Amino acid sequence: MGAYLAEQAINGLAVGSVYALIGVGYSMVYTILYLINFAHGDVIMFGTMVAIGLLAAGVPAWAALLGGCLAAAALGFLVERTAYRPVRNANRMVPMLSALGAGLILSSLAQSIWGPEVLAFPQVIPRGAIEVAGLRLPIQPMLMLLVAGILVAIASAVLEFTKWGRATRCVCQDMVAAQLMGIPIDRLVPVIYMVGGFIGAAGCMLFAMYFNVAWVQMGQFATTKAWAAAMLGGVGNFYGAFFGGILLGLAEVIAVMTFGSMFKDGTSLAIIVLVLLLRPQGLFGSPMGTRS
Amino acid sequence: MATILEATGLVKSFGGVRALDGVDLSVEDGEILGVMGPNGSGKTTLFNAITGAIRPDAGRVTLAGHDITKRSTFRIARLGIARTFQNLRIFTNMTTTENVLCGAHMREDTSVLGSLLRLPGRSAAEGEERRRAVELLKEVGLGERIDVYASDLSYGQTKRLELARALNTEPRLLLLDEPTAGLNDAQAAVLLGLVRAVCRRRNLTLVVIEHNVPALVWLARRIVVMDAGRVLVDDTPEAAVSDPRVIEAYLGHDSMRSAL
Amino acid sequence: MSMPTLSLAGTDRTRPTGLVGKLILAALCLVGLVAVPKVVTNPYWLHILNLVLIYTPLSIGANIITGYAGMVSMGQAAFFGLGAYTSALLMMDAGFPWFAAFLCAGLVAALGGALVAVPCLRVKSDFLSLVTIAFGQIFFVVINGWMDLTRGPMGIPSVPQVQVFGWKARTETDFWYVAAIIVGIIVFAAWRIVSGPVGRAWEMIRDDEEAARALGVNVTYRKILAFAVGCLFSGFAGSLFAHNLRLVSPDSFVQEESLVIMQMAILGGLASIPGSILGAFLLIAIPEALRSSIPELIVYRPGIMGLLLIVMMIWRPQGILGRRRAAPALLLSLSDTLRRALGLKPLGEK
Repeated sequence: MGAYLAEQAINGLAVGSVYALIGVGYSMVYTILYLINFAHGDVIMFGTMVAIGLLAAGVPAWAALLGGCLAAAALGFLVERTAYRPVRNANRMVPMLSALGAGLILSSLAQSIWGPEVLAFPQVIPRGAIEVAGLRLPIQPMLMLLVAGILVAIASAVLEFTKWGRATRCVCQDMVAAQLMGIPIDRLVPVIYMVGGFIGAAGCMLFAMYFNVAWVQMGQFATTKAWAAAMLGGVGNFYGAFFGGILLGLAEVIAVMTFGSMFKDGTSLAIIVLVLLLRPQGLFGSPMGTRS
Repeated sequence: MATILEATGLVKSFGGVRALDGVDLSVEDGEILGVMGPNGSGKTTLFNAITGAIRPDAGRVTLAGHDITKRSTFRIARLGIARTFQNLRIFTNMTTTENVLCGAHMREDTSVLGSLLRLPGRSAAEGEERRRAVELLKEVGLGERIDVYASDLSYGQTKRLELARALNTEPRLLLLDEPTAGLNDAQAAVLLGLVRAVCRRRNLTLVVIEHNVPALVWLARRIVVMDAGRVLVDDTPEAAVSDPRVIEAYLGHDSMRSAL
Repeated sequence: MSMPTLSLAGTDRTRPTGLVGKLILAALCLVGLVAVPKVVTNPYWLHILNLVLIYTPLSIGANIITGYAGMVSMGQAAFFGLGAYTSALLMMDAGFPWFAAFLCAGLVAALGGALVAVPCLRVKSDFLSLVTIAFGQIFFVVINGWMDLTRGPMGIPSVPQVQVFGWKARTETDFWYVAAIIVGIIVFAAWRIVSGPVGRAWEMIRDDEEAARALGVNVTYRKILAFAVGCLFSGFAGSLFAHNLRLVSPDSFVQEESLVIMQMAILGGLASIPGSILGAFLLIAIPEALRSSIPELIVYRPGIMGLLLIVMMIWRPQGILGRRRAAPALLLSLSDTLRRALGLKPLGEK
């Protein structure tokens, strides 16, 4: 029983870390720009599909996955140019609506290229488990956790220790002051979109690999979960989104064990409602996400 | 004369800043009270506390005996307090007439059923409201600008529109937040002349925040000077302006020196 | 008023419509009601027109919430579906007569809208759209999963037709007559509501919430009211949909539907009743027309809608029939900034 719980916990954590990766992209854009990047889900979906295409074309696994992430980063840049930059001085709903439009265009494009059916994601990380000290450790979830951990560690190291990273945090605090201090917002924002896309695509690929499904709507599907994660952790908070993702993953596992697999997807929705009703700013967030 | 508005011990902090540091204020029925002070002294915050836009950390506000300290803005408006805003909050997507008609919200029948049924008296009532709105527009000097989109008005005209809209709520107390900001001396004089005439005609109690000191001295019967969240002086205009503490406060803020 | 005038969206709402104008409009509607089935004899095209009728209250409801009250709801399909399922189930499982089921559909949807609005208002307006998306998805998950009640993904087949006093609407023509009268009444009611103080209060909230409060508007109540009224109409539309299509399944109420509904309001004209009708017409009739001639295009439907969204933001954010200034200031400034970015003059300048 203990071993079963441990395995489930690892699964939950792994899936949660994937949600976290996807959520980080939203959280970064929201924290700095107070925008919900509605195109994020479709961007990372596109990157994942590109990776599938590259793998099918015989490209070595590491290159294909990297290629997918880079494609997502490039698309992130494109979205920033078209759906954010021209309208950045307008009120908030505006860039969100145009990002929505951009996302729709991407999903249409994806559907015409790859079709509406569900695809399989090549299992480049072997399924199965290894035995360590009597515990069955499933390989994929472990690697997912590892990859997610590495990416987040890199991202937070960049945030804490580099010039660019500190600049980003300054912008988080106060955009106008940051501009006055000479921080190049115009160069920083596209980077944020690109990094968000890169990391999010990595998460999306892991998601696709783990569940062995990939389809055009998966970006939107994962988006709801990423948003539940971000809301749970607290939207204004980079680390909040990450912990929210982990918690969500665990919550889903618990929900499945308690109520049955039908309720897995409903968990994220239930969490959104609960957070809204009980604590709109999330676990770690400041009340800035709520009406003052 | 009866006291219509009374604020005692108002305290409000934003982060580390004490915007209001124990403010006492009383406004008598029918008077024109001026509020002045250097930038950041808490004048608009005081207005916000009175109208319920912010909730004070401590203190009380009473309107004609009712405690309105914790009431929400719209309820306070319904008790007869109207205000204009420093940054001019008119509805740019509507015409002048529609803006003024918005002031009638509190007395109109705003139920869905009422709109559906449109019982006989209603179109007469609507016509009456429109007539009233047009009269107000004429009274503030916008008679040439009826049914013009509010975004097409000049800055000065926009201020008059906001005044007309506030007047249409038929308030007992009107709070004006820097009505002459951005106007030159001539325009300011005309606007304040209009304000005084309008208030006299209705026996309306008025509290005005102003940076234009000579104008305020002319307009107000009594002046309150604020600095750093406190009331420094509460006296007749002449006495307030020549009070050494007030001069000290303004000298400490060089930008206001020329005002005196 | 010396001259009777025909009041359209685009003129000052405070001027009452002249009597002559009203009579002309009424006459046109009556003629249209009778003439359309005679002119449009192909049942497929009549069905399309019936769909336009069905989507009209839906579009109006979305316009009330978004165009008048300024809240972007991306989950209206849920209330559409709520109305459809309620109406179908009440008739089939509870033996309600059609009209009672129709009314209940609206009321249930209205109640749902009000309940959803309450938590929505606790978050910043940015998040409102997300929360509506989430509720839309919750609805979908529930109807998909609650097999006992809704028959799950298969949906409910053989939904009875519209029945009034024993007469059944057996053909598209029959349906047209009933639906046109009902939708006509709904449109009239909606127009009455929005052109009076209720609509004005919503527009005050949309344009400047702070100022609205200072003028005595109970913003929280009015926002919930907007959802309630908007969803009431969505529920009515759902009932008409259920008894026309005679099949109620979750596929009709997916997220994309919510986007189409929102698009109807944005495209046809925000804060405009005729605009809502136009939006419904354009986004139903044109895709159907294209579908019959160029079937492959259906794949591109989201993309075309996305492109349309961006184009509308640049060219005319208030929609085709929206008042120039009825577009929330935010959409107008988008338009201006986009135009500047493209080297065009902003809309407001000569």
